[in-house]
Amino acid sequence: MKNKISLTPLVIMIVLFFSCSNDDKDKVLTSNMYLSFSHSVGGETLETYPFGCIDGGDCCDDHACCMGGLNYTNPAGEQYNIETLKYIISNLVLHSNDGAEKLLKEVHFIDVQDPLTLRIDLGELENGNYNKLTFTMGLDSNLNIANRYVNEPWHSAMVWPLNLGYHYMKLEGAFDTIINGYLTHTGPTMGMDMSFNIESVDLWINVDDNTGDINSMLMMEINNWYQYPNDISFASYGPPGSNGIMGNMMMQHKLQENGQADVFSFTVSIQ
Amino acid sequence: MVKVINTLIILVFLISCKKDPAIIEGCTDPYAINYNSIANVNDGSCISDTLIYNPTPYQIATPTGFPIMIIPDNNPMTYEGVSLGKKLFNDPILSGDGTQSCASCHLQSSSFSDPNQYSTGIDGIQGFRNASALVNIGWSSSFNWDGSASTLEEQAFEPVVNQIEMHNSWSNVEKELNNNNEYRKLFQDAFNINYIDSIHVVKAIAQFERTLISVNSRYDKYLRQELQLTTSELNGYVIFNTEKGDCFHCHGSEMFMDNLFHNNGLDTEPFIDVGLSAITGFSSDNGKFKTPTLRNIEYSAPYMHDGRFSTLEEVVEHYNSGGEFSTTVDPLMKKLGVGLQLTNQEKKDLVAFLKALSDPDFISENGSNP
Repeated sequence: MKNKISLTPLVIMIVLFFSCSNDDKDKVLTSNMYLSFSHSVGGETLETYPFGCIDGGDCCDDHACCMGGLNYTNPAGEQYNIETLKYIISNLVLHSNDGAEKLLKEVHFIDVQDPLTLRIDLGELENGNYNKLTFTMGLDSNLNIANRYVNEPWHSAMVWPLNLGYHYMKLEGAFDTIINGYLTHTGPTMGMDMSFNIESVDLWINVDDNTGDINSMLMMEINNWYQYPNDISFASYGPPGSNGIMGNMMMQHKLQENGQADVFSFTVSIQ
Repeated sequence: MVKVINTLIILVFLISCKKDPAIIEGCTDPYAINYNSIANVNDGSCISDTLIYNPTPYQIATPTGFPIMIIPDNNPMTYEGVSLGKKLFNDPILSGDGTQSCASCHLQSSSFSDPNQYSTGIDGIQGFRNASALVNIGWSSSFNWDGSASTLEEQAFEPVVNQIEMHNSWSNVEKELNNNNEYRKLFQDAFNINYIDSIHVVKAIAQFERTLISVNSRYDKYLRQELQLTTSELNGYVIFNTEKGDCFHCHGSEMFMDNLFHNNGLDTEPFIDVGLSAITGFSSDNGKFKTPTLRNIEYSAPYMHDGRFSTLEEVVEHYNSGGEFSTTVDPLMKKLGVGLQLTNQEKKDLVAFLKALSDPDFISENGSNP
């Protein structure tokens, strides 16, 4: 008991000592990583069809919806619009300078109509030097298994028929005239793994006690799906009435090559 | 002084000689069902509420290819709740004049839908939409053709007080049910309540509706390798699941629906019935309606939100001819003026496959549902 009493002044001194330290100077920042998704057409932020239709608001003279409902032009010169853009990325990995890999997320579904899917919290990063982000566009054959994601809210919307797994992407709208649809659907045509990997350019993210949050962004330039190395027109999907490409292996290969070329790009900023 | 002391001593003796209060043994726990308010000694006879209220949990088995059904935390499934819900579903006591039950417009023989284009309420007034089929409804994320309810419990509140349906009031329903000793016992068993209220009525009905599961069609048996589909059914299966018929994009997965809303090209603008946009306020939702499951579609004629098509052949012909253009028509429907271009045989094959989704057990009186 005597020893305990004699310790009291010492404890108080220690508490006072620490309470007088400089909080700001010694504060250790945690670094959370976030990934946002943005989409553009010809460098302009994506505007989906139908346009300006919130709470009964109709289009005005200078609005895109007065362009016959078709506000974009693809590299083949076809007027078109975009009504639906849903896609899946998987195996999102952050790479360290020393070669270590951190799986940030196994699979993520993006729907441009659902803001909740357009930004994800990838969790806290440990101190270190990171130099690269990689992901798979779609699902590779290890993940693209029928009903694997049956409990995800996007399961039914992305199912690929005949128990072959899931679509990688649904990009839909109209072209030439507002009544003529196109369906750029990519996925495991005939059971083939048509997914592909995307790698960021060198990022050089150095995380230490003072770094703070890291905001990364994955950008999709939609027009680039339709050019380089392969020029693709919606008309080439087939005659009216058959304008889908889910069974068209050649078209799936072309889109795969275009997607790998320059559809995606990354940016990273540190707060 | 001595007198005072003597008086005090006498008083003390008088008080100390007062008769002790009687010992009354009994249950002194005010929360027990046999609480004895005059007992002052607990004799260990108390019977707890929890000993009496002991419902049997009801587990929903998840069929292959279906997600886990989400059961609200505040309405866990029990056999007692499901059984009570079935009784309420079939009891005209819920309607204003005691003539109509839920089952009056959701007939089991029609896959719990109405074979009439529009249902007629107790006052002889018709609605303006076809009563939805109730098949695997526990996996839906929104209810009614326009998505106006987000849970089955919420959905069940509405028809009882709808003036063109059951035209009752919940206060009247509660009064009727609380005057019924059988229902008081059943609600006690299912929910441990002594006063029946609307919340527990809809909870029971929702529990019953979650058990309306159909996964025993010829198609299911084919997947389980219990039988072989006919050549025509198989041809239809391929048409259904390729862009030739393009049915799977809205009616894909083993649930044969996508839990989403679409404008499938039925009408031009302005729409008589705007559907989803009446709920969301977005004109971009004009003319969109909830995708129904195609399971048991053979039994649930007529078709579409307004029951405009009497047969599956008419439905297939709608898609085959391309439909009507409107601002919000789904991109999947934009083969306007062209359509699917199916041959007569292909149309027959597609209908044959749709009929392979019929589950006779589901509509039989002694079917798989409780």
